[in-house]
Amino acid sequence: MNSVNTIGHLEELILLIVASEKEGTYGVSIAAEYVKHFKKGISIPAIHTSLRRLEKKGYLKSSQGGITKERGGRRKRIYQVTDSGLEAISQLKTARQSLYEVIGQRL
Amino acid sequence: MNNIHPPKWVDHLLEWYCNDEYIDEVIGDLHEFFYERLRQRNAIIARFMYLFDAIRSINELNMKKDYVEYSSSRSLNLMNASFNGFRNLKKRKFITGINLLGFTIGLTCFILFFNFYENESHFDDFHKRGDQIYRITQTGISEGQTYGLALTPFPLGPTLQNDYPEVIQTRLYQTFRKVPFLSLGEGKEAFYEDKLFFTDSSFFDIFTYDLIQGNPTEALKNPGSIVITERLSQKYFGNADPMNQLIWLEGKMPFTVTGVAKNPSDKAHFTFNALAALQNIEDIFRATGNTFPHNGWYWTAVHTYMLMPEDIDESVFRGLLTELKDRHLPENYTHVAGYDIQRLGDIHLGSDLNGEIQPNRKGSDLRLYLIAGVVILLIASINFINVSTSQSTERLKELSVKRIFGASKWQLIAQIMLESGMLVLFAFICSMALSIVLLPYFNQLLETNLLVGDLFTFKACLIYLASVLTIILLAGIYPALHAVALVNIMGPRLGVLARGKFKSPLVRKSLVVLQFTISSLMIFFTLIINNQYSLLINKELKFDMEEVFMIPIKGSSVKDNITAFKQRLLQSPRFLGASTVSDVVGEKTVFGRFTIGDDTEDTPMNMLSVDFDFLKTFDIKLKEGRNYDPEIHSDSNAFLINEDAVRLFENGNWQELGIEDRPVIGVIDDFHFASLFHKMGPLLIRINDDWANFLAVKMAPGDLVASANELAALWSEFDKVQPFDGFYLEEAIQRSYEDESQLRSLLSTFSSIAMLLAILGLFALVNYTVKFRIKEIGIRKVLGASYRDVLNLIFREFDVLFGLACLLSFSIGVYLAREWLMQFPYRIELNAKPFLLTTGILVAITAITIFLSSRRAVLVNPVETLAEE
Repeated sequence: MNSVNTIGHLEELILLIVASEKEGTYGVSIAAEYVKHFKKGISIPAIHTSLRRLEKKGYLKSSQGGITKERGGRRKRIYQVTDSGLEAISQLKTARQSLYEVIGQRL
Repeated sequence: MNNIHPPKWVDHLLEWYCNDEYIDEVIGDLHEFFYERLRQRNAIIARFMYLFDAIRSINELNMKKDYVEYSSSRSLNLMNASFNGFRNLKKRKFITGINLLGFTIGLTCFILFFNFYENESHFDDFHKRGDQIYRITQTGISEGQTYGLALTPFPLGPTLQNDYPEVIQTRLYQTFRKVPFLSLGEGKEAFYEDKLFFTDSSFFDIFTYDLIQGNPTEALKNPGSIVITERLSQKYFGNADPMNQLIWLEGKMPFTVTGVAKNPSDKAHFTFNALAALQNIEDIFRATGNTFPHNGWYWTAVHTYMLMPEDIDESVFRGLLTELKDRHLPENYTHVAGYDIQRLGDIHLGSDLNGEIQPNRKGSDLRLYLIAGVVILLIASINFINVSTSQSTERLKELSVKRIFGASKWQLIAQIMLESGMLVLFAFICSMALSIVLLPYFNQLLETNLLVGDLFTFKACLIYLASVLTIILLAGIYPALHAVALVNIMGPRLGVLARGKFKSPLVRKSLVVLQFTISSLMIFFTLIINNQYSLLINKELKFDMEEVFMIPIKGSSVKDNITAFKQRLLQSPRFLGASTVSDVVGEKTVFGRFTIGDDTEDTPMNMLSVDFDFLKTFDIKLKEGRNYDPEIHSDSNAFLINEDAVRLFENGNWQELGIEDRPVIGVIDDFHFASLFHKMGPLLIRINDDWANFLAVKMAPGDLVASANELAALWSEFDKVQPFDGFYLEEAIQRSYEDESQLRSLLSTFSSIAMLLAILGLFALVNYTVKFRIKEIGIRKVLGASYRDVLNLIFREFDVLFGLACLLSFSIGVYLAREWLMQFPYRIELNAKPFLLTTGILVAITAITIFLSSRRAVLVNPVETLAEE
């Protein structure tokens, strides 16, 4: 299972952003967070694509959210990280951490 | 801000496309983002990015479920189909080649002319407040006819601004009938500067030009200030700082450089190299050899531009101008009908008034070119339709097999369309490359300055996309439907065809007729324009312009010492004669108003100011009376008139009536003193040294360059400040027909291309017809038909079509040619010759094409063709 569910770079960043919001979050605020953390722009379709893939892989779950005027009467789709999502994050972190430690002295 | 919403149609598109589960999220998020962008940037960017994002949202993940399944099965087919399509294209190399060539040529024409059109229609749009800028024009009356004048009197602008302070005006003055020269002072090199304008300090309030140095609001405020362009700064000052340096006008009047402007865009109806303050007008006039006339409202010498206040309507403003005219214009100025306004954006395309700063593009010509480009594309598409339709029977086997294996009708259509699409797309790539290669020649031909980058603007790319799709759809759909319809008829009976049923369908025939109508129309028009042009160029003008060299002498010391100059000149055997003239003879003259005899009203007449040697220099014949005689002192007060002017005198009694109480001493031949665009009128010739703007020198045949050099040497003996300049009269006169010359070369190119395409199409069509009937021909030959009989058979299929095409094109052609020729007072007669010639060319080309393309099939041994089955 793990070998099938590889996770792309952008997907990983978005997974992290979603995981950082305990109450769950949605497309536009993910975009805002992304800009805040990584200092570069991102398009909504790109986020949606990653969200779909992450959800398909079972790392995220989604539910219907509220309506605001600016959305033209459309519901939000709120994403929350799942347990397997958290596990994936921790796996990634461990893998990276061990490498960071090797590089550590030179940083 | 509240009124701006994301485009609705995009939402509908998304609703149609997206999965119900995701639709709220996609549209909602995009909306939020849209408003965010609207806050940070502007509506255009927000909308554009919205559209862009929406398109990117159209991906498989958001798609409705049923589309997903459909699409994945189809995407497999797509691979297969494009592979098949490629095979099909490759298999019929000849046909593919012809179609490719046709589309490439057609698309290239379209690309170039579309961009030309686009470029020309965006002239003058770099001014920030361009939509508020207007030019004031004058409507004059002459002999009961009104005419537009781009020039206005000096006081008009300031009076307007005085009466209506909310209007900002600026005037542009170019030295009257003289190209001025600038220098850095005595002993420094001087250059003629034709793009020097004298203007008001409000210039930069109206027009948007960037100053690199200097302050736009201050630069032209003080008398004697001048703003030069970077180009000019480089020319006169090199890399030194030009600010506050002196530049001399005609070596007589100093100007201080108060600003350096960025080189102005030449995509404008006027460009400048220098702008000088329009103050101390008398001094400027004196420096350039003119005297400032005091009848300020009479003389039209400046172009007046203004910034219209935002809240005034155009029609209201026209009313204000009428009021202004009534209030300020002296009552006896009956030659002024009124003043009018022109939008800045309308000037470059279509304004053809007297006294334009530089000639504008004829809007009608421009549209004609665009239409011609589209028409050529149309011919290419017709070729494609014809050729592919005739091919469709050939691929029946392939299509039938596919049908049997369960392909739907629409899948077959899509497959054939895909093939067309591949072809067109490939042709488009070729034509893009070809356009880039041809661009320099194109620029030269049309005297424009398109850059490669101009071919790839966002708008241009959208148009390309749209036109390529349209072509694929229009040219692809008929052959596809045709082929699929055949499959339905045939069902699974492979390869068995009811041939008679679709030998030459009506659609195809009418397309051939249309194509040949267009081609013959173009040939016909080329002939007409050719004839008219050669009439303009070759018409006997009744004066000698060969080897006549014109030197502008206004304001020079040569003019002051003209008698001595002429004497020295005529000592050389290289020069046969010389006369001063006020205008470029054969190009244009000015109007004057004169009292004939005891008339109570003035009569307008063309007027030419010359000296005693005029008739001799230009070899103009005297009809009655006598020529000027230098020995008779009073002759400097006398007039000569042309034959046409005689009718203005009561009973033709010119000898006694005289003009303005001065004697008329002779009548000269009606020579064409103005270009052939104007009907010849009455002409009055007078001796006047003040109006000696040019010296016309008749050179002896032979080494003209050496003669010109000798003139230049002599000039520098007389005038050390003003540089020598001049031109050959014959060239100048021919240049005035440049528009016609351009139209002529373009149309001949167009008609050759159209003809070439039509030939290609015909070639393929005949080729196919013959192949299709090869067994029939074989049988006929076995039964004793001769080679000629067989050729006859093939010709017969096309002769009615050509008859029809010729008939159609001639009736349209005559109508259009009449319209076009109306603009020339001197025009060719429409006779049978161009018709016969067109028909001849068409028939010859068609016959040769049919003959060549069918020869092999006709000559082949029938045993071989019949032995197939």
